[in-house]
Amino acid sequence: MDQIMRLRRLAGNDHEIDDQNNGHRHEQAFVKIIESKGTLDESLLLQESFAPGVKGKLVPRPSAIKGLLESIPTAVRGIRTGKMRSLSKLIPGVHPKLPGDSQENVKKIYERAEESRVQFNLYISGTDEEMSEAGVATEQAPAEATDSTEQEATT
Amino acid sequence: MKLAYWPGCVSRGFTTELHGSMALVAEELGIELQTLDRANCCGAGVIAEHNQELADTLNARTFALAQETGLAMMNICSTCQGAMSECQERLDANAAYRKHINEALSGEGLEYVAGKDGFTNKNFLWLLVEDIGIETLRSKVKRPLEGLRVGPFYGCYVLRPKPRLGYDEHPERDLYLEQVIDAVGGQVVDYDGARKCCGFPVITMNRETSLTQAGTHVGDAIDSGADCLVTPCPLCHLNLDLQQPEAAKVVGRDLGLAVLHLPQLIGLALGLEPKQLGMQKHIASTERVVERLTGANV
Repeated sequence: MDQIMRLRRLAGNDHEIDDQNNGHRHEQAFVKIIESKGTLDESLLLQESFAPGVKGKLVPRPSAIKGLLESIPTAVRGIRTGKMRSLSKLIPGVHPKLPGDSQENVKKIYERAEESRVQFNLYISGTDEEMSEAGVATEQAPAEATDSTEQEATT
Repeated sequence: MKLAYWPGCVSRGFTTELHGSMALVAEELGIELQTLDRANCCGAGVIAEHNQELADTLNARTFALAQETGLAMMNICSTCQGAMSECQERLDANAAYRKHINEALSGEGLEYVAGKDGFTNKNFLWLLVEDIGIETLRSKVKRPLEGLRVGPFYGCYVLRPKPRLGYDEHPERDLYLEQVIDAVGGQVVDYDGARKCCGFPVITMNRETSLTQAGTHVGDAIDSGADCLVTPCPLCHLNLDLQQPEAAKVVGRDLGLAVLHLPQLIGLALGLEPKQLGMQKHIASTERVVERLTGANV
């Protein structure tokens, strides 16, 4: 699964492959929402997954409009029973941010990780403590490889 | 028992009845929950797909917030469990990587320490069986769910991959729902879909495939005589309950099977009322469940 994810990262982020079924728009929307809100704004995710930029930047495709329209009956049922009966669940973007300076700290995490983008390319077994006991050196820079945790840094 | 509590995003979003019922059930079970209200989304595997380091840092932040409390951590979402376990595995695997991640948390005065004070992060289902205990649960039942035929629905993220999810130490984790259903007096329904994917992860990408999966599993449970399903995953709940009328159209048959959150099933057995547990908020009617309980004359 990790290797499939790695391929998806390559397809979406590095080669900007974006078709209706590969989930790239869903991923992009999800990532942006957590950066700005900290927790998931589900109604904004739904809108942005189908029609990114509906609020301004991009023109949604016909298939995206169809996807959004297909979701309407589900939303109506949710409103009727009370599952989706509040402003923050109905209106994309109304969802609250994390309290205090937490949201700002999440943004800082994004800035650093998007710059660094360390990723493992490995099958993990055990912990470094176990490796240390076995005499395997583990105190290495993240971009270097160990016997059981081969890594690579990509940007 | 006091726990650092991560409710996740969906239990405070489209399934507020889960968050509410967990609070009530915790009180009945003598659990004090300290909510991690500064914590962020686990990423649900999606952020890890975008940038592994980003997902690992966000989850390290949540673990560090939990460790600050000095308490064990509990979540109520299988998807959170799976996504967090994945990140924790990477964090615990390499001290240099952990140091690199912790540098990002230092500005907030946080640090994730692998294995600190035996730190654990468990889904409510796991905690219920392993820390509270099936016999303790059984002893607390005030309203045995006699006559209620319940189909377990686990969700992928507490089942796979087993090496990451602690199955070496707890090999029966994929049987816990059956044990819990039995402990609260219900009858376990064996059906094909119990351990399969609900289809939620592809709902925005391939709606028909997603709804076919959900509709097929619900249909299988109905054909096996279930009165309801129970799941520890709110995302599975969304596809199996919120989307059930749409799934019925896709699979071309009538469905109409209640899908309970795990705390709701426990809550009913502990004597709480369906309305207290938010069961009226479900899309698929829960009336049959209530009728069964009334029929049991409790």
